[in-house]
Order: sequence, then C-alpha cells, then structure tokens
Amino acid sequence: MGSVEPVLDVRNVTKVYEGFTLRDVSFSLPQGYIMGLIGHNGAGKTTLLSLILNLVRLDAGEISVFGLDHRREEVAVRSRIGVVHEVPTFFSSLSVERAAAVVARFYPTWDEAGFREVVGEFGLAPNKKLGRLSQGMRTRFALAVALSHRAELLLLDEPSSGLDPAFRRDLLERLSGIIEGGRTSVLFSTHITSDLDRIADFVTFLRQGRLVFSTTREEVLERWFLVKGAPDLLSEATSSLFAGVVTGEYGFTGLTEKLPELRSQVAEGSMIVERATLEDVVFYTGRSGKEGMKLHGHSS
Amino acid sequence: MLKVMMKDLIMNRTALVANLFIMGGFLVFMSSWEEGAPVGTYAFFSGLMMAFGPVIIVTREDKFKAMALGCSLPVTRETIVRSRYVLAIGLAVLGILFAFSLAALAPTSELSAAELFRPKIVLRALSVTTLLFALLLPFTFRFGAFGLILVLATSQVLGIVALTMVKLTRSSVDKRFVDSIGRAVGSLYARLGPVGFDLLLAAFLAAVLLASYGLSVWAFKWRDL
Repeated sequence: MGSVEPVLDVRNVTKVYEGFTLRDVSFSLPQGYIMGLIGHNGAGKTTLLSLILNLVRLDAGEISVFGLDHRREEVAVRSRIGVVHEVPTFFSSLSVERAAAVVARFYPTWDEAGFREVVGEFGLAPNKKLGRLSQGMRTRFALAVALSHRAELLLLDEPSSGLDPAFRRDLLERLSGIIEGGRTSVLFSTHITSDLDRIADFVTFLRQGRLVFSTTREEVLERWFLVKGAPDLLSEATSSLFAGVVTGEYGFTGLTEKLPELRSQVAEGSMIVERATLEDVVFYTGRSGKEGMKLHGHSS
Repeated sequence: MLKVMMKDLIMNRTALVANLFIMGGFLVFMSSWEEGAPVGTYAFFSGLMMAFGPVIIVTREDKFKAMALGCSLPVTRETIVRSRYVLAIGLAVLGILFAFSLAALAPTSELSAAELFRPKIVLRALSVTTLLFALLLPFTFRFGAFGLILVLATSQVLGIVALTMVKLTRSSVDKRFVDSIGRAVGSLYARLGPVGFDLLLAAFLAAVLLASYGLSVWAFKWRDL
C-alpha cells in the first residue's frame, strides 16, 4: 500500500449550472489507491472530473492535485494525469498510431514501447482509423494513451461502459496492477457498481449534485443494511430510519445505516436483515419512502 | 506552443488542404474572367477566403468534441489561443501566396505575377484576412462553431436592416458613409505616402490582432467544456 498523502484533495467544491448544482463536495484520495465515483446519470460525476481537470470553472471551493492548485499549476498537474473521457474525443480521421503520436509530444514521460505493447494487448490495429473503431475500442485506445505516459493519477470517466465483459474484467485487473507500486492512483466514475466490488478501495457517492458519502468500500459494506419486512412495519418513526424504501404489495425493502435504532423499534424476527451491496446503496439511496410508494403505485 | 500547432495541423490537414483547393478553384475561375477581375478585387476575395482556414481548426474541434482533449493536455488555454493566432497568421500568409501564385500561373488567368505580387496588393489581401479572422476567432473560441454562425448571421441581419433603412428613408447615408471612409483613407495616403501608409496599416492590423487575441484569451478562459 502507498503512503496516506492525498494525491487529490477536493474541498467544498460547488458548480452551478442552470437546472443543476454540484454543491459543497469534499473528499480526498490517498496516493496509491483506487476510488470509485458512483451515482445515477446526472448526479455530477462528469462535472466533478471536469472540474478536477479545469475543463470547467469552479464557482466555489478548492481542488489540489499532488499538493498543487489545479488552476494555478495546471500544466504541472495535467502532465501527471492520464484521462479517459466519457466520449472519446480524438479526431476520427486519424489512425491509432498517428493520434497517439500527436498526444505523445506533450508528455516527456511518454513510453512508446509501452504504448505499442498495450495497443497489442488491447487488440488495436495501429493503422486503423479511429473513426472505424467501435465505442469500446475507442475507449481502449484512450486507455492505452492514458496508461502510456506513466501518469500518477488516472481520471477515468465511465471507462467500462461500452466494453465487453471480458475486457472490462481485464481492465479492472490492469487497474489493480497499476496501483500495486503505490505510485499511481485511480479515480474512476461508473454506474456499474460491480466494478467497484472488485477493485475500489474508496467509494464516493454523489446524488443529485450532493455528496452522500466518501469512504472506504469496507465501511460502506459494513455500515449499510438492506431490511425487508411487512408493510405494517413502516410507521412514521421507522420510515425516518431508512435512507430509501421501495414498497411492494406484500412488503417493503429499505436501506438503512441505523440498524440498532430500527431493531429497538420493531419486534424480533419481524424483519429480514442483509448486508447491502454497493448496487443496493446506489439504488435505494436514490429513493425516498414517498418515491418508493409512487414506484410501487406505477408498477402495480 | 509548437506542439499545439503541430497537433492542430496534423488533426486538420485534410480539411485545410481541401479548403485551400476549393477556394483556389473559385479564385482561378475568378482570375480567368474575360473582362478581367480587377487585381484589387482578386486580392480582396483571396483574403476573404483564406480567413476561413484558421476558423476551420476551431470549428472542427467543436464538431468532433475534441476541445476537451486539447484542454486535458498539459498546456494552458492561453497557449492554445496563442498557437492558434500564430498558426492563423502563418496560414493567412501561405494561403494568400497560394492564391496569388494560382492566379499568376494558371494559363487561363488574366492577372500577372507583376500585378499581384506588389506590397500594396499583398497587404490589402492580408488586411482582409486579418480583420476577418480577428473578428471571428474570439467568437469561435467562446461559442465554437455556433460563434461562426452567430457572427455571419448577425452581419447578414445588420446588413439587411441597414439597406432596408436606407431604402425606406431614401437616404444616401450609406453612400456618404462609404465615401467618407474612402476620403479619410485617401487623405491619409496622400499625407503619409505609400510606404508610410503601408506601415500605418501594418501597425493598425497588429493592434487589431492584439486586441482580438486578448479578447480570445479572456473568452476562452470562461468557457466550460
């Protein structure tokens, strides 16, 4: 494991758009770890990554990367960051090797042999035009570029969407391998929470532009529980103990981090308690008790 | 800065060459008019058409959503803007030389090299190119391809409004306005002489470029990608 120095420190970050606000988000990523950024579509994941890269202006807050201000020292910061954007942004008329050559000039640490090796492993033909690659293959190309300049921080925006399951697994293993030396850290956004179950050390969860939590994966899995029971267990008092509830005709399923309080209010054996998965946390936190009722109303 | 220029040239080479040849085709046709296109008019159109080369780079970047790539690389936005202006000047000079060479070498052309390659004519073409891309670039940096449409559409609307107003009021304000500019330029030319006038024009163009560059840096800094 690497040292505990934060490679990325996000403090009270706010960005206001018309109709959406990313508000007061704070978290830090220690060097040598992988952090998964999760949330529904439109939660603010891409906005947050764009803010870190200074592609989008901050309205409030501070971001430091490698201990440097991400705006004042943007060249120094970005020369040590590898990026995969959600939509691959290379010109489609260029071939794989030509596009890489364009980018390589900007990085003194570019490893041409390493790039060729990764391209081979990823099954990319060097002469193939980017415009003729599938979405998944373009993502592979962007990843190959990001991995080839020995970046110390990888920012990956939904890198696994559009990839086939076998390559997705391969990518996750590769990311795990990259951080083993303790030099490189990874922040990647995803809505495929099973990816995080495999590799994430930390999980940061955004919901509607607000930070729900940013903590270790173990803590999330230890803290949150899925509770199932009959509808009559959902009183006003017990409902407030759930972060989200979905009700059905014969019962409800709710997510809680207040299990001891809940147990003190309901009879022994009247509910089933399971450890929540990350997917459960994302799914249920997005739904309040009332929304759960509505959901049930629509589905029934 | 050189790295950004190389990136732009490599990524846009096909579009830039295509633009050069499409515009060149029209210019060859223009230079071959039987009655003979006046050399000043040819210089004006050469300058006008070659101004779109630099704009193509920014608008294509917008089209391919590649601005995020450029700004994720270890360069400042100011460097990106500066490299685009240097490239624009280079492309303008090369474009005009290309346009003039075409007219001088085309067998059907009514224009000769001696007529075209005079400092006054070259400077006239360069003035048109410079003024046009100095106007367009800040808008394209701020709004992308939409900025180009915005400027062109606004110019069209303003032109229509001005002509309609002149027509409705039966005024000759438009003619008087153009004439007064012509007289002012003529009087400056008479007072300064050809060399002095060309130097003043070059200084004016440099000032316009600097102002446009400053505006572009400011506009691009505020753009969220």
